Amino acid sequence: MMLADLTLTHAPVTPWLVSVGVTAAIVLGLVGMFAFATNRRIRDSATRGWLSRLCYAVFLTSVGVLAISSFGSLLQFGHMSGYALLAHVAAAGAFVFLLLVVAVLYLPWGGSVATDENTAAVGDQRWWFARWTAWLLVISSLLTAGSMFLSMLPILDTAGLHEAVAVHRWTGLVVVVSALFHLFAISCTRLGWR
Amino acid sequence: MMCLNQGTLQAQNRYASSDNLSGYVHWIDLYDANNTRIDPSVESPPPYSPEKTCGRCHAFDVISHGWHFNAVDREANHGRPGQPWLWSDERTGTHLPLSYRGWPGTHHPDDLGLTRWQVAAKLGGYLPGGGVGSLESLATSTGVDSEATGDAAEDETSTEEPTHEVVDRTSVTGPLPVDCMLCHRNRGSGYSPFVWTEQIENENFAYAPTAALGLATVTGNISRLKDDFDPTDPASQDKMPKVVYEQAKFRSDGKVFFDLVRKPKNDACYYCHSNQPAEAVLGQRWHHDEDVHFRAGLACADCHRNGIDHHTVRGFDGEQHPAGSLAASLSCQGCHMGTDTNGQHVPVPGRFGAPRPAHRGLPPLHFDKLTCTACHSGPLPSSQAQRQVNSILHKLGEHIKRTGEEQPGIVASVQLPLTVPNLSNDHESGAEKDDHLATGKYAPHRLMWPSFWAVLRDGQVEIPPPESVYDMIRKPLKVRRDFTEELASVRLPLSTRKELLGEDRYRVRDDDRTEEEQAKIAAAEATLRTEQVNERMAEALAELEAQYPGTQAVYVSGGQGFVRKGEAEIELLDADNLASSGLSDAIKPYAWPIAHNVRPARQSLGATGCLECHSDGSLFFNTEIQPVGLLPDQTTVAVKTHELQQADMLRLGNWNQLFAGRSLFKILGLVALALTGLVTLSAIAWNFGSWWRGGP
Repeated sequence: MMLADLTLTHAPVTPWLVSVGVTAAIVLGLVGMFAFATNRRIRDSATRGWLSRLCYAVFLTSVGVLAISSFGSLLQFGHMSGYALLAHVAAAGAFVFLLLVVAVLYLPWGGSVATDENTAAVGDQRWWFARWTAWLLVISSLLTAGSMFLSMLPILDTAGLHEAVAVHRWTGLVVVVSALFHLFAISCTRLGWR
Repeated sequence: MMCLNQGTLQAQNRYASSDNLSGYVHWIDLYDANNTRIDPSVESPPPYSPEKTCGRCHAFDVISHGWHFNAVDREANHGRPGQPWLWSDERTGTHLPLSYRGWPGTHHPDDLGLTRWQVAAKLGGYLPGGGVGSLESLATSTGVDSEATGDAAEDETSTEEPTHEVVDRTSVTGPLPVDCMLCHRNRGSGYSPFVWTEQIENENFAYAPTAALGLATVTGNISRLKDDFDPTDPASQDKMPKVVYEQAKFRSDGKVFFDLVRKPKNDACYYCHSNQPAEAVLGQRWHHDEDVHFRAGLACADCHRNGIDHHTVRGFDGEQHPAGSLAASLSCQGCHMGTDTNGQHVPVPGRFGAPRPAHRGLPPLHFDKLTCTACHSGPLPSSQAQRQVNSILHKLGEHIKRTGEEQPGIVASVQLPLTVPNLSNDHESGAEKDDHLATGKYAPHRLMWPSFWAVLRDGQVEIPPPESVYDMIRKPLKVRRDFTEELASVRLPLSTRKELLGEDRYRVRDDDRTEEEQAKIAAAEATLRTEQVNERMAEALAELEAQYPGTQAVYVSGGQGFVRKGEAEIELLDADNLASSGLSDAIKPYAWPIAHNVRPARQSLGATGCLECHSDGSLFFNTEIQPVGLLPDQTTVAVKTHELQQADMLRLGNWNQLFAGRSLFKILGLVALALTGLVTLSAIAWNFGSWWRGGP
């Protein structure tokens, strides 16, 4: 099993993906119009306390476990099984719930106001690399978790299930890369290199 | 592959054909083995020869090397292990799985000192002829012993060991002819496959097609003729079977109507490929359903089809078949999904309106771990694997009473990892051809436990030629027909009965005894039976050891090994002794995958939810399997499926814990994902708004 084998078995343009995309576009448009019309600004209330850092650390750990248990298993055995699969499923639970926290804490909010020195790296003050890797991390994570949740619901047929797992694998790979880059970015900031 | 296809096409094109879908009405002349037209009115007419009769218009030489005939062909692709042939000797309690195909767990007949003729005579009744019994195969049979016993001949002890007579009566019986009508008969044509079987048992090889077709009555029995009988001697012709044709079946021009079909009917396949729950033979057949494909109007040969080369598609995923994509589209996955496991072919899905399965809510990982049949085929899961009967192994077709307990005991269904040929082996490079790999995919299997006599020497198991074993042990074993039944049969002496029941009651009939008296008699008989079994078995084992000096004799049955303990007692080999003696593998059950009957989707495994498999005690991992032993009162050790699967039950237990709160996890997870999505969309919108307003 090589990485080249991680191919999309079908082009992911089935009706369910189209539906998801259209829905996302509509919601995005409505929220954008709301933001534009009201000109409201969000106040970043998050402070990087120990709980936030813990959540981020556990999230990264879960990404690490998920990556090793999946890609490691795929590369070695060609499929997931045994304790690797068990670890993957267990870590997925933490991943899904902490993703919400990471999204709230790390997604850039345009025009946000830094409230104190602890939030100096938040919002528009952050290094562009940290902002964009945060976007990439959260969106790819959403797709990764979403594709697997979809396959657990009585929605997709067999072909859709195969597409979902292909999407899961590819977006999962993006999660791993973006998580590494994001960690690098905030480490640079924290160490004062940026 | 291309060469084979071209060869097949050339073979097809050698002959004229009608090419009308209505078929060709076969009013044809009969020809005998000498290619002479048969006149039924002459005195002592010969039997007809399918090769010479059918072969006039069909590529017999190509047909006779197809799947059902190529077991002995070393160059053939033998594919995924399947149901074995079985060498059974009810007199010695022997049931040995055989295969010339090198399937793991089977014994090669050559290694057991069995000649091709012996195998053809023993098993030919459920074969379509040719193959192992063909002239080509029988001609190579003389080389059997040189290979099988070559090492033994050089062994120091071999000079003291018995020499086994090579049984080959080819000169008396002739080769086993291919009988086209065994498969191509029309339903209700009058052809009787069991007459074919009977004739083969009587060693009337050449006469079997004629008798089975109902064209003639055949009297006589070649098996009663001596080994040195010369069938070509004119003086001995009166001892040969007699053929009397039904002249009313011949038209005035001498032609005969063959009621046949190009595509074999299900009945023809069933004669050799019937598998039924044991209870079916006790009148419970109506409790069971047919394969869903039959109910949809399909026939066996719709999927298991072949061209003139008779290379029948077996239909398993990953099958290496000359027809390539066509064959791939006839597997479950190919036909229903349009995909090929190995990605080598592009199957055409939807044949015969095959529906595309939904599998809604089934995480796709299951497709990596389970074959289609794991969920969709075989008997419904039960707490205990059920006994089954099989047409070949239990001679279904013979008109007798059955109990469902016939040996060898076959149980089903047991979910086990599938074994497939190692496709990475390159035959041309001389790499090991018989290597097989476990795919890790589970499939339902049938199991049988081999039983046989053997000798142990230096950690090696040597199985003497099974036919010779009877000659060696028949005196001490005192069995003439049925090993289990006769070993178990005891009758208390009158003196013992008198002692147990008293002067007044010991002569009363069995039915008139009180329950207490019956219990006393039963207990005494059980004791006597145990003594009898121990004594006779110990003597038989001792006799075998005498024949093979320096060895320890063993009888294997029901996954256990029995050795002699003193003069009149036998004992069970424990796990350590089994391992040190090399018997551990030899006692293991032989398992082969189940393909049919396919159940409807609503009866598939997991149709009621995840917990059907992912819960403690689920039948997928916990069906109990009771090995079937042949020794009277033998207590076999039941095993759970997960023991055979070598599954990690600690891990499975942890898995099951995860599934305890799965529904709640799905709900909370979806809520979390929805919130995350909302937060993300909001952030996108805020940033978009900020950018639109010219913000940073």
